[in-house]
Amino acid sequence: MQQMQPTAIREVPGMKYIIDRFEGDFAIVELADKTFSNIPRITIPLEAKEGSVIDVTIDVESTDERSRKINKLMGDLFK
Amino acid sequence: MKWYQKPVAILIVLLVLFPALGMSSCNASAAITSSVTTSKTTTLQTESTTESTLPLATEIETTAPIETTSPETSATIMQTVSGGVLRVHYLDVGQADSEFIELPDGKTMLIDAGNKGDGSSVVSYIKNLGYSTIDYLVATHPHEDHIGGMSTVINSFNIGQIYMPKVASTTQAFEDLLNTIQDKGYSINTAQAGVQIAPGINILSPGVGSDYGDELNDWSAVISIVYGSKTFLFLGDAGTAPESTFSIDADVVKVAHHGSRTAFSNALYKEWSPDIAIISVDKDNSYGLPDEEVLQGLADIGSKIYRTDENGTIVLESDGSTITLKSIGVPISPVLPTITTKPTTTTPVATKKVAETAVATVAATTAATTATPAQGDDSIIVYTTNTGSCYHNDGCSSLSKSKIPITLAEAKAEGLKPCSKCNPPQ
Repeated sequence: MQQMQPTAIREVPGMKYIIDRFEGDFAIVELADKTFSNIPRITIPLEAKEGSVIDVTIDVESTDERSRKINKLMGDLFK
Repeated sequence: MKWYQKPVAILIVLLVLFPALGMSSCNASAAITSSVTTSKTTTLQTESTTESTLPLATEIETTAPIETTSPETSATIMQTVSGGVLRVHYLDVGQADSEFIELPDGKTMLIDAGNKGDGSSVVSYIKNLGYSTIDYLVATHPHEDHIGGMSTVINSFNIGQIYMPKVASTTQAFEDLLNTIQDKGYSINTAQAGVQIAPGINILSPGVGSDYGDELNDWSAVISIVYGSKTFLFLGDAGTAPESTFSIDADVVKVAHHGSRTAFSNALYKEWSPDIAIISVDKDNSYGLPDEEVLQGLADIGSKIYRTDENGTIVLESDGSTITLKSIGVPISPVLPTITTKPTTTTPVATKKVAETAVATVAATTAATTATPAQGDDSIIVYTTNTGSCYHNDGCSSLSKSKIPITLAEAKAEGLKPCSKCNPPQ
């Protein structure tokens, strides 16, 4: 599991990976550091194909919106 | 099993990619969007070669003109020195593919080179056989489990001719392979039906003008090696569409796509009627391969099945009239010596012992009749040690110092007794 050191992945600029191939329920993707990993097929867009470059980004707007919503809910519930 | 095939690895990756999943603070929740920025695997057409940044050159060997006749009729008996043997090594590279072939005329051929992490093992295996040149190098298609180790191979040997289907992948792994080929000053022959790599060695698929689009597996270079009356078929990961474009009578088939049902047709295998079927697959892989219906289909036509996950590296040998199982289970990397003071003697002895003891003859002509007892003594793998007088099941504590896979038949022939602790098959 040495290759799975999170620091090694975090150092990579941007968060993109390339679909090498599909096997069963998995897409085997090439990470930016040239290692390969299984990703559940259902977590990537349906139209993705072998060779597709997947860009993972944080949706800041949705994050803030959910944060507000949950905080409001908690504010109503906590004594 | 490779690290990236473990479900836990997926979880770790997801936690790394989506750190919010691992946090409890509601403020840290993050919604993730995945978007496809490019969605097309580029198929390099002839007219676009000059524009492409990928240095794919087409260069058909002058000695190997494209035949217009069907592959079946253009197959030639290999010209050889008398007494030469064809030896095919189906390397155990986990969930990947690699076959090394010693041709009867002394030349060598490598079909695929496993995952990236397998490159050095493949290199050491071939070097241990005494070779420094690979005359014919074939990358069946650009998936990493077939080309990952190939850059290392190209950097470690003198390479004769390189054959690849003219189809691209966008991965860095494929780009690295092309860059390595370019750096070494080599060019690439287009692998397509009708190309003769050498007398007796023919490419059957992909067909000239065939376009399998994004289905990289279907672009696989399919290769037949005919020696005397024996035919070895190598299918890469080709699916049933390309598999149905050629007809052949095969004695040994390297089953396509690690035993996936998408590459298996009962009708086609009935036509090919292989005595021996080889499946290259990793133990406990995440993809459920080989598919049960493939194993059943092969059993139905009487094929003797060897699998790299169960048998390790499989070596078949042919003199042109019979096929024998030379050895199974020889590790592709040298066994680490257990006595560090005498490393030079320990390693070769262990390897040699397996090579000599695991020879079990399978007359190809009778393979069909012996195929049913798949549980026969010569297909059951047990393990012995350098010094012990017993044989063991995998995992037995007696195997902590040395572990040499051999067939049950050979264990019995050597007079080894079943271990009383692990109770192996008798």
